Amino acid sequence: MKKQNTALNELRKYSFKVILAPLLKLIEVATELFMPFLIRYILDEGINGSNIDLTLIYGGIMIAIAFVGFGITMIAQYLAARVSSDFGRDLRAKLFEKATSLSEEQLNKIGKGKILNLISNDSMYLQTGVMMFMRLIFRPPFLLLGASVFSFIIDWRAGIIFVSTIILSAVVLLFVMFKSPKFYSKIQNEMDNIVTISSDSINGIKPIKAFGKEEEQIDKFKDVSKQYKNKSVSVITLNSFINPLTFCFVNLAMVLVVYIGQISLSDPDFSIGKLVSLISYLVTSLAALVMFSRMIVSVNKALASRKRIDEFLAYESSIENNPKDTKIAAPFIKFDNVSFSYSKSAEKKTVESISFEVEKGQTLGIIGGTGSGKSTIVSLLSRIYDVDQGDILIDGKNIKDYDIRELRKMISISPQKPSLFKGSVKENIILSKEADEEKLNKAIIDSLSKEFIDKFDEGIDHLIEEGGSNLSGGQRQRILIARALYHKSQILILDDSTSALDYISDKKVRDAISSYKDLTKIIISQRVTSLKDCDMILVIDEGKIVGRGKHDELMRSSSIYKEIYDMQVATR
Amino acid sequence: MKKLRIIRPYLKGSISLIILSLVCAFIAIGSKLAIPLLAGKVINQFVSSEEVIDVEVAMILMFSLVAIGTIFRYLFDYLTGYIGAKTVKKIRDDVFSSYMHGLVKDIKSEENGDLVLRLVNDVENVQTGLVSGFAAFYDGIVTILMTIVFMFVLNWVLALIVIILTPISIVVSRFISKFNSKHFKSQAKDAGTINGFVNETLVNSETITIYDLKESKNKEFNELNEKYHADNFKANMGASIINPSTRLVNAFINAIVIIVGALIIIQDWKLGIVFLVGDLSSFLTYSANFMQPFNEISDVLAEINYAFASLSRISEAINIEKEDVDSGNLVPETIDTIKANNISFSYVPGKKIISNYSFVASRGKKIALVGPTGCGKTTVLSILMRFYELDDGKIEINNEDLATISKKDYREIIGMVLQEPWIFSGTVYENIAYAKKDASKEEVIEAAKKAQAYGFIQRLPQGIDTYISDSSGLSLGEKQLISVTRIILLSPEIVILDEATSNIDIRTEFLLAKSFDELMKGKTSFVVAHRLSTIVNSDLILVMKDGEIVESGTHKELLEKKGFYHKMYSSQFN
Repeated sequence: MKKQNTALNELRKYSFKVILAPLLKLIEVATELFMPFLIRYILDEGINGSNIDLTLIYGGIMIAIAFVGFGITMIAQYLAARVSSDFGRDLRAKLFEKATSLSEEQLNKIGKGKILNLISNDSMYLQTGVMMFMRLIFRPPFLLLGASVFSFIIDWRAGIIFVSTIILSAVVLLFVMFKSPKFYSKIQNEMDNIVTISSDSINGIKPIKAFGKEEEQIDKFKDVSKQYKNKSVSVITLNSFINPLTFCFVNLAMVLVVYIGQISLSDPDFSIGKLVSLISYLVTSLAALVMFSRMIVSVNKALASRKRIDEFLAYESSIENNPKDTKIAAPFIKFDNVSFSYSKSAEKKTVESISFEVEKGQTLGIIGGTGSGKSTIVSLLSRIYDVDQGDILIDGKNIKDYDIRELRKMISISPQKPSLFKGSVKENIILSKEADEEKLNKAIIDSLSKEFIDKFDEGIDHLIEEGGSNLSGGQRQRILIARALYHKSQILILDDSTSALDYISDKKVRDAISSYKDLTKIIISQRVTSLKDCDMILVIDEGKIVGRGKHDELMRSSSIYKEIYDMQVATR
Repeated sequence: MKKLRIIRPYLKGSISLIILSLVCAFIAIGSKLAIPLLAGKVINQFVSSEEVIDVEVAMILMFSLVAIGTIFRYLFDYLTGYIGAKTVKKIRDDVFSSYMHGLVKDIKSEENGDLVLRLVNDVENVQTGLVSGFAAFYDGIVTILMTIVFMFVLNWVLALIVIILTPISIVVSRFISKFNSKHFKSQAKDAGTINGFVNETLVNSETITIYDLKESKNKEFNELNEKYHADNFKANMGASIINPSTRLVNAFINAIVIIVGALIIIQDWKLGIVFLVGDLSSFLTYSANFMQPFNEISDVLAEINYAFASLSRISEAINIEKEDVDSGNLVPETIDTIKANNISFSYVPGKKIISNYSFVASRGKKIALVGPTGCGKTTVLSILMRFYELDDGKIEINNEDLATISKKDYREIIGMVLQEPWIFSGTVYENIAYAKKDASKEEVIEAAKKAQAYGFIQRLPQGIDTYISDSSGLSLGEKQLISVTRIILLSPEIVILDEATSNIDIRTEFLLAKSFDELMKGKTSFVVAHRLSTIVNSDLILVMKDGEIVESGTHKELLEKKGFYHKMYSSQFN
């Protein structure tokens, strides 16, 4: 059975406190509703009866009750702060966990910027929503309900006026509450457009000026900016009704109540105290309505965030893990008619009908142009993406039948895109806390990292800044190679890992790597020289294998390979 | 308050609206506060035998006050919102246009985040803080002042009590806010750390998958999360004390008022005024809500402070130096020669980036700039684009000083492809046809074929109509091919290529070379490329080192010279 995965699930374990806080609020509201009663007695018995003692006693009770209300509120406030921040923490942890468990394909589909937003902003809005819920959501309805009940008790006509006032106000508020989210999401879209166009324009300031398109760009911006303004004004037009209408209803009620008092002047059951306490309830109601309308905005925001978070949490990793025992006799790595494309609707596949075999300990080279699909082939091997068609076997077992973590442990990759973390050089190589010093040393020497690491004052503890911005391209690549070598087990993949190294260093790294006899190596490169000694080279063009064999064979059989070779020699 | 001068020009067209809205607020608040006063007078009829007020007149007056209050409250709320949106739009447009007219050296893409923040968040802060904030502030002040006046009219003793007791609440909430700001600061810092960490994790997601770092990253995240959580709780708790505290003070004041008020009536203390039960009732409606505007003002003050900080950031953005592109002569009909006469340039005074730089480029020639990283090649190209002003020397076009020609006019005849390709959010077609608005789809496809870009464009989901953006997953090489297509489509008089093909594989580059030759035929072109093979056929190679030309000539001449170029060229073999 699948457990339902929603944001509010995280609130379950706090349900006792979540319910307790509004109950405490109920008590606070009761103390507030009690005040007009006291006022009534002070007026009717104290003033009318000219009784100073009673006045002082009732006044004293008013102050005492205010303190009781305060004490109870503080407990509720504490509970709300406690629960909401605990909930926020749990929610963030859950979102982060989800983000790290989704596949690359899903992350790109959802958008990494959006995920960042979910973890930092949306979780915050939802957390605030929970706090508001616990602190405020029941206060206004309780107050309004209480005020109506008490007004009925005091005078039935006043009660009817109260109820109609509250219903009218509620209709206005609910109307705005249901209407405005649509407006807000439109405004948010316009804001996204503003951000997109301004960010694009700032990045492109040189081409924009070079093409003389400044004014055109400004006009484009003004259009978007105007759209945003218009959308904002329409929300303002709507929201501006809240204050005046609630004011209108409540004050009309007040005038009517005074009128009732006026015509009941001779009625012995009616008293000044009753009238004043009714007015006092109306004042309380108006405050409650105003508070309620302010809350709508943040509640709406929280609800929108909840929707986005739930959508995200509903994702299940598209890479399934079903370990099975299904070994057959086969070469160490076997690609059998593999096809894949990132966008399933694209006219052409990213890689198509790829078949090849590699024996254990051998070195496979892959060469090809920009966007030809070289990196995709190795991403499929470690199941960063799953193939659309065909099978990939490692050691006679389909990679889908491996436990996915076991599979990935077999393969170490030095990727094309430098991927570094904020932290020391050492941490970036070992990626954990405890280092195997011997292995680490060898990885550093074999990747030629030693020469530049030794130049750092702190050596291997030298701190790498975010994204490795304080290292050169060659240094970054060598750290990545060291990382791959440190973690090597069965298969090593170098994805264009030496492009920033000069020819001599490139050769030294390759020599060091070929000394690992049991290791199966896959080297992707744009340089023919880097692949010359491979046991087999695949030539990839537009996602297909267009040539295969050793260097000498390819020089004879593959025109593309020979072309690349000739051009590189010409360059040299 | 000096900073307010910044928004004055933006309010100019709205002055009458602003005055109108202030008047509306005054009327709305006045009506709102007068209603309880009248109600009190009517109630007085219960206990007073003499006719103080005509009840019917009072009722009609109250109804009209409700109507007036409602209408003017709506007008006030709507007008302030409208003025805000209008003002802020003008500011936003101005900031953007100042970016577009600014100098290239000030609008750096490294600072994109900050520049956009000024345009979006800071402008937004001005709207909520200054416009809505001031409206709420004004509303609050007028309410407080009018309430005080009404209270004094009713009973000066009670009014004095309220005024004396009020500061307690203000002192309490001040104290709490001070205590809170510390937690808010550390909470904001923690949030920043978490943000950075999540971002890093997402950027490196592939590495995390490959090396199975999921658990350790989750552990690290939870440590940061716990720290954030602790500060977050304290900040939340602190903030939630304020409201109940002021409510408590208000309830206390209210109780004192009713006790003293009752005593005044019972004991019949003569204070020089008539004070009846109805008046006490009116007074209670005033005192019960007296603290409310103080609370609102203190909320709003924080927003106004934010707005002032934002305002100075906006003013920096608006006041950046502008580029004059319009003034100057028209560019000559045909460009026969482009001459650099001993030009020099520095970003920072005293640190020359380019010096003693001279060359002559005549029509139809291809000029290549070569030299080690950081020798100033890109700077020379930027100078040719007139992104920067020269320190010394001059560039001449057909012997006319380039500085006397309008930049706008001059740039119209140049096309440039930068090392960092620029892709904006839009379709592939829009991106390519950017420089040539009226280009048909066929033309664009034709150009894409020449630029060797059509192959990958076809593989995109909707081909040439696919919506792309800078972060939509195109590789650097593919982005460069789109930039190159743009220039091939435009086919400008002067072509400038700055490492335009650095991330394109050698085979595609080779195929592209033919299209470039075709593009540059009969045009003057300047090319920077790190692969020397792409420039061997240049008409003139300027060999640069530390911002100076150390050698120049054709490939053949330079090799024969056996100087710096020869050394660089042969180092590619070893």
